[in-house]
Formats: sequence, C-alpha cells, structure tokens
Amino acid sequence: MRSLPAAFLLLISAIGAGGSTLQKLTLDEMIDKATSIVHGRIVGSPSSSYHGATIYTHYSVQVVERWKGALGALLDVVVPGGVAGRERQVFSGAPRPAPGGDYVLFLWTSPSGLTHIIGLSQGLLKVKVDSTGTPVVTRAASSEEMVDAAGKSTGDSQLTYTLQGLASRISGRIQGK
Amino acid sequence: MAVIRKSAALLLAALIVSGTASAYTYWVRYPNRTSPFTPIPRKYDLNSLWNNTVYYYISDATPTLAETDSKPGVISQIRAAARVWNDVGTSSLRIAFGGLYSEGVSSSTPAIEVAFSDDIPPGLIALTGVSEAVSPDTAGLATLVPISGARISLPRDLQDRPSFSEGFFQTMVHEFGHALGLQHTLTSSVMSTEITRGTSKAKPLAIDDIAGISGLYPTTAYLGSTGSITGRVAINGDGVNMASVVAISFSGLAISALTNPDGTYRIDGIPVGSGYMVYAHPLPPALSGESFPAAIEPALDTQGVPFTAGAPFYVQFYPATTNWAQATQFSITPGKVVDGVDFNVTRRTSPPSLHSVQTYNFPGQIAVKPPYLSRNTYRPFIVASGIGLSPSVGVGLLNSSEDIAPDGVKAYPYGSGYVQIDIQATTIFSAEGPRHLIFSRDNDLYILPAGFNLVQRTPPVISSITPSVDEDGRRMALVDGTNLGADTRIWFDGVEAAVIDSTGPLKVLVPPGAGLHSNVAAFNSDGQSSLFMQADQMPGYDYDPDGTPAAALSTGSLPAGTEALVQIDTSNMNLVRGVTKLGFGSPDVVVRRMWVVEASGGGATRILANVAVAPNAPAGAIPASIVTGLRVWEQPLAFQILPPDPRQLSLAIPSSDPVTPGSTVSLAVMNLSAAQAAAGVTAALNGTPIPVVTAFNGLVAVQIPADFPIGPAVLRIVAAGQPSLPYGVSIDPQPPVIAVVTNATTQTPVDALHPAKAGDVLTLTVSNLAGAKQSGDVTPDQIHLKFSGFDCTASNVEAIAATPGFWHVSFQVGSNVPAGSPVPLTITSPDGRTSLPVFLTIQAN
Repeated sequence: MRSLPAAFLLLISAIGAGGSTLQKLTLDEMIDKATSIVHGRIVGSPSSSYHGATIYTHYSVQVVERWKGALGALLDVVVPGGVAGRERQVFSGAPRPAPGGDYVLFLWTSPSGLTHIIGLSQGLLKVKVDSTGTPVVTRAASSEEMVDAAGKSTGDSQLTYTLQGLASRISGRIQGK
Repeated sequence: MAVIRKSAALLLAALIVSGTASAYTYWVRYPNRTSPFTPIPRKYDLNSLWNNTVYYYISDATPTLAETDSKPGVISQIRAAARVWNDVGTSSLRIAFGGLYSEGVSSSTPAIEVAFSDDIPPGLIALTGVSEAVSPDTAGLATLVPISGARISLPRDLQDRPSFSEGFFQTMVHEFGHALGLQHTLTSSVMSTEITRGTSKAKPLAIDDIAGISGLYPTTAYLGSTGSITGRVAINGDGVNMASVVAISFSGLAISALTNPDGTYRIDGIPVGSGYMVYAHPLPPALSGESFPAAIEPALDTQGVPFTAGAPFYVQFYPATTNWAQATQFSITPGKVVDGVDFNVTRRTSPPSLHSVQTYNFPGQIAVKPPYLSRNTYRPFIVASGIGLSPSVGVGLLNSSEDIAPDGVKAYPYGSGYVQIDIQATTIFSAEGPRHLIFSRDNDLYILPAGFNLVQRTPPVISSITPSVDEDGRRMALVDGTNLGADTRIWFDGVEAAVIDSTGPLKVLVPPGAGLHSNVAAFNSDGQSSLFMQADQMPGYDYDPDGTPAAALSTGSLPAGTEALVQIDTSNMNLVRGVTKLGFGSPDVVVRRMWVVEASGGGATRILANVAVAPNAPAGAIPASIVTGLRVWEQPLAFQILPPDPRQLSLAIPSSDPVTPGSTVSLAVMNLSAAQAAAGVTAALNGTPIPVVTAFNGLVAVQIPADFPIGPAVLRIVAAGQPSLPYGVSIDPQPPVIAVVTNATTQTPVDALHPAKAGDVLTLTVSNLAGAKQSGDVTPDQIHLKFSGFDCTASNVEAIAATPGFWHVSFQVGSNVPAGSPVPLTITSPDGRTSLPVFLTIQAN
C-alpha cells in the first residue's frame, strides 16, 4: 500500500449543533481567528433585538483579563436567537451564557460590527475552580480527529487547562506568529 | 413481551388524530410534566400554507466564491438541496423556490430565507434559526407549535466551501431539514451531525430522514403503509428521558426515535419487512461546540422549562442482551404496531466513553465519508476515528456475511488516533447496501448504522465533456468516463441534464446557461459520485456568452388581496416549460400558476403567470426574478405591493378540477358585491364573450365554449361597469374517465356486491387516456394509478380495438389497500390529467 499524501484529507471537519453546522476549530485556530480573547464575567441581564432579520441576544461581558484584541472593559457580545416583539427566534446550539458566569471567550467582530463568540459554544469556555482552588478551563471532547484544513489530526479530545496555562498558551501562540 | 396488534383501523385512526405521536427527534413541547406525555412538535401549520407549500427565498446578495464557482451555480445547488425534501412523496409538505429576495423586505407569510451573511463567525459553516410566536398555543387540544419562518445563514465568503462539493450540498439538505422542523438523529441520516452522517449527494436521504419528515407531515397513505414499534426504556422501573431507540434491519435500514420523559417511545414510519432488531442507547455527551448531548435540544414544557436527558445506561438489544445475535427479530406489516418492546437497562455511573465514531475511506486521493467499498476498491479497508476508539476495541458487522479480517483492526499507520479496519475480502460483496458496524470495549457497546456501504463498482469518473449541437440546434454534450451507465445522472452544477443516450458516452442536453463555467458531476444510483475522485479537479463546461438576460413585466403593481395574470416578455433567458421559475422576493407574492408560451415574434420568450398577493401583505417594492437552469435574471424593486383596494375585482378558481371545453367554471370574485352582481356581469375569454351562468355576492360561474381551443387563456369579467383584473385559465383536454372496473379473475364488474380482494387483477375501461398530442401506444410506465392513496403499477395497457377511444388498463390490488369501506381509485394520463375517482370496496382475504 502506498502512502497517502496529505491532500487526501480534503473534507472539512464539520459537526452539528442543533440548527447549525460547525467547523471544528483547534485551540490554535481559535486563537488565530479570534479578533479578541478575554477572560470575563457576564454582568447584567441579557437583552434581545433585531439586527437585520435576525434576533440577537446581547450579553454584557465585564473583562477581567484580556489576551488578544483591543476592545473596551465592558463588551457587548451577541448570540443568535432571542425574543423581539412578538417573535421568538431559536438557533439551536447557540450557547446561553449564565448571568454572573465566569468564562474565557474567543470573540470575533464581524464587518457589521457585531461581536460574536467563535463557533457558537466552541469559543465559550467555562472557568471553574478545581479541588485545589485553581481556576481551570475545560474544553469538551471532539470527534474531529479525522481531518482539519491541513490534513492533520487535531488531537483535540477533552482538554483541561489551568486558566494561567491557557493564558500562556494563548500568548505563546500570538507571540509565535 | 412483544405483541403485534391487529387493529390496523384503530391504529390508523389514532395516528390521524394524534398526528405525530412519535417523538422522533423533533423540537417538541409537552403540555404537562407528568404522564401521559403527548409531544407537541414545532412544525409548519399546513392550514396556513397555500397548497401545503412553504416557499424558500435565496438572497440576491453576491457571495465571494471559489474560482470555478458561480452565483447561478450556488442558486442551483441550494434549489437541488431543497428539492430533496420536496420530493419525499410520503410527506404532505411541499417546498418550492419562491425567487430571489433583498434583505429588509418584510412579509406576513411563513417562509424560509437563505441568506449570505457577514455575521457568521469562524467555526460556523451554516446557521439556521426557526421563528415562532412568543406565546404559542400549547394548551388544550393544540397539536403543534407553528413555525412562522426560518432563516438559513451561510457565510458571505464561500471560497472554502464551493457549492458543487458534497459538503455544501449535504449541509444545505441538513439545514433545510432543520428549517422544516427536524432535529438531529443518531442513525446515520442526513439529519445526523456530520460525524456520523451516512448519506451522500447521490443518495441524500436515509430512511430515518424520510420517516422524520413524513412523520411530521404525514400523507394518509404513509400512515397506513408503514409500521410502528412502541415500548419503554426504564432503569429500575423509572423511565429514561431522551434515550435513543433504534429499529435496525439486516437489509441496512435504521430508524429511530427518542423516548418521552416517562421512558415511553414510538418509532413510526418503519418500512414493511422482516429482520428488524431494536436497541436502546443513551445520548453521547456533548462534544466541543455542542450545547446539549448529541446536539439535540431537550423538549420543553409550556413554561419553557426543559426535560433534560435521563441518566446514562449500557446499550441493550431487545430482549435484555448485548449480543445482537440473540436479539428478537421483528416483522413489520403495514399499518400495524409492534408494542411492548420494553427495555430495563442498567444505569452506568459515567457517560458512554465509546461513541461518535466516523468512518471513511480512500477510493482515490480524497477522503470519502461514508465509505464505499467494492470488489475493485484499491484499499479494501475503512478508517475510523472517534471518542474512545483504539485498535484494542472490538469491531464487528451486524448485518453482513462479510466480516472483519483476522487481526484486521489496527492502528492506521498514517495518523495517530486513527484505526484501520480491514474488511474480509474472501466473502465480500454479497449484496449492495449499507453495513452496520458494532464497536465494543469492556461493557461499552456502540453501534454505527451504515458504517460503510458495499457497492459493485468504484465511483464514476468523468474523463471528458465534449460540446456538440444536435439537428434541432440544441446544445448537447458527450460525457465520457468510467463507471457511467444508464443509472448515472449528470449535473451541471445543481441542474440535472437530461440524458438523451446512455448506450455509449452519455449524451446529455446541456441545461440553459450562458457566459459561465459550470462544474459537471456524475451521480450513480449506488450513492457514489464523481466528486469522490474529482472534487479537487472538477471537470467543467464553459457556456458561451449569450447576451444579457432581460425581462419586462406587463403589470408592475397589484393591490394586496388580489390575484392577476402578469405577462413577462424576456430576451436571452432560454425559457423552458416546467424548468423556468418566476419568483418575487416576498412570500406574500406567490406565483400560483405559470405558462411559458411563444411570443408573436416566435420562440418561447413569454411567461404568463397568475400572481397572488396576500391580503395582509405590507405595501412596498420587491424584486422579481426568473431562473431557468443556470440562467438568472433579477430586477430589484420590480414589483410594487399596493394597499388593499376594496373596489378592485379579482378572480380565482378555488377548485383544482381541470377547466375543459364545455365545462362550467366557478370563480371566486374578490370584492364583488351583491349589488354589482345583480346589476349584471359579463365575461370574456381571450376577448371573446362567454356566457355567465350565475352571479352572486363574490361568486360567478361561467361557461367555457365547447369548441374553445386548448391552452392558456385570459379571463376577465365586468360587473356593473367595473372590470376585473385579468386571470389566466388553462383550458385542458378532458381528463380520463373510468367507465367500469372489472375483476379479471371473476370477469365481473367490481361493486359492493362483488368486492375485490388483495391479489386480484382489476381491469379498468378508460376513455380520454391519450392526450391530443399523444402518438402511438400508451405504455404502463406512462400512466399513474392511485388506489386508496397508494401508488399502483399498471401491468398492461391496451387500446380496445372495437371501441375506439377506450382503453383497458390492468393492475393487481396490493395488500396495502385497506379492506372495508370503499376506497378511491384514480388514473393519471401520460400528459398529467387525472380522472375523477371511482370508489371500490375491498374485502379481507
């Protein structure tokens, strides 16, 4: 059997999240593609409004640490779906950050000016405190070991980082580029 | 203990009343939090849709495309994906292209928008939102939460996902499924996530998809032609919510449903057959990017509180075994239910650790998913990856005489984390079709339906496309290559080209198009396509430039609540009857019927269309568009919706009966007062006065002259000096008439005293079967019989020599036709005319 060149892995890695199709991103890809990466807390109550024909729910994020980007201390982050007027729009798979919740957010500001979470919930990582009192960030496993855009295994099964370790990983990736 | 109930009639009645008792994986609400649980699905209310049709609209924005892609190509692929759902004959929901739309146009009618958006963040390929009223009526007898619209958003930048690819097409089919009300399933269907999806562009739906859409919008025939399995999944007597229960067959089918909060389940729409086993498995935990286990949203109560998934458990076949060879095999019969298929499963302390396995292979240099293996496959193995998968995992086949080769599960040498699975070559390829894979490790069991497909040949490959012109001046192309045959379909982007000759290189009629490059692909009936081998180097066809398409509408505006004939004269549009679509950029303005006709200058350059404006349509300007093959014309702000005009008379024919010469036609006349009707009404067809039979408040009946020519005609009335808007009427030839039905076995007419029974051959004596343009014999494959809603195949058709104009048509009564009450039988002629029904009684055998 002859060896298979990397070009054979041309399928784009895609998974689904309710009413959406996701392209699985590795952590490095998320770091690269995000226009801003922050550690922050959801403050206030979310509100919904139309942007064009789509209803978005707006979350206010109080920035605790900033690792990429130059947005302000209080961010307006949108998630598709919500209630406006007499209409409810449901985008299954859209994350629902909890008020008061502590997250690492990989964000992307669109040409229209809205700031989104990358890849729906891919870019929303909950910050928890482990048994030693250390803040940790866990990313769920993915089955996307088959392909990525470069034809390599993403090797991205469940990952747990300390918050500090994730920060180092992010800054290292940014500085290494 | 499983019991087969015989009360088919009761079951049918129950299904009709309950609509969708199955939980499948729809978005559902439950009106209470205690048993019994009756799921209320989110779906389109067919009563609010004209002709059971939900229209979809494609943004007129221009996305950024791959070098060889084109906007007409993108439109054609989206339309082809929507057609996949429209063509499910057992679903009563139709999906139709409504035209191109401009952002910002509001409407009052449910519809699906396909948008190219700047607001799709990285990591998203498509995003579908479904709209509903804030306070859906889920109390009392409500049976659905109505969908008020849906929006499929694609990135404006499509350079990395060309429209001709497998991925784009399947994503569109998948997203349309969401827009119609389907959630994910775990049964290797197009509604599975891409990890376990087992469909292809050539075979875009699995039986699970068909059951899903048909269960949500069932036709009457569907309910009686398939079977059901019901039961309960419990842990120590406590029902398990959101367990997935799968009926899986040796023939390769797999169809599933989720349990209700009390653990009860119902799998509907199971095709008739034998060898069905049933297993229950828990939902796998949410993967990265997924908000819920298996990316399936849990059901809600009326307050919006979710019913979360039950505890994880160990996979089990019925009855209480992990060995499929010991599982009970069920037979499914039409309209009957196998009930009592209960599972008492064992709770596990942690979520399943072996799941979400995806498989693929390499017929060439491109990874193909799902895998297709044939005798001539260059690499007779599949590659798998997934959560918990390693070379130490046991792998087997559920439904096959083929097997895994000894020591055939190994680490794939070209990438860590992959497993290579060698398929036993000595007994391979006994029959074409999907094969189910079973993975096991310790107490973990994971079943992947349709983990790979066995086929007789390798994928089709196109080696050359040679343009030509036939004797009639039509553009043709000779498509040559390997594994192209009579079952091969050729697409120019998303438009199927008619195959004229398949005896050598495929001779196809080139679809309409001009001045663009089209990507050409071949699709075989076994599910494989040339994309498997050539997706990175697509063969193409370059259309010559052919002038700028143009069109002019005779009427640029209509009041809300009216319907009128609009004439559109075009140039450079290559209009084709049955292919060309006229649309307006709002679901409030619908083309009810259209004709492509020859203009006075010669050539089919004119469209006549009855255009209806919804009564509550908001006033404003909307675009108009014409799409014919890969030719697209669009004009923004081409059509103005005016406020309602209470004086404007407009016509409509409520009945679907054909209008034939000599017939009396009832017209609904909007805004016709009793005083106007009493003052006198005149009517004219193509400018020729015709008799008015009756005229009342809002209703006029006219007589079509017996010698009026066949074809489209313009009808107008004048009431008390007030003219109506013009209205298009198709004057059709007389439909077939079933004069008598004779039992060929007993040689007696079938009537109440002499009922037929399943297996009898019936012979119909039919007049008007051949249309005016019919030449030569009518053959059985040209006609369509429908008996009690079921399609029947004619076994013989012959002209009655002694009685010119009459025909004998024979067919055999199927076992699916219910006995008892009289059931309707109709016949449709080769040119699409359908007879009135005759009602026949079938007695039980």
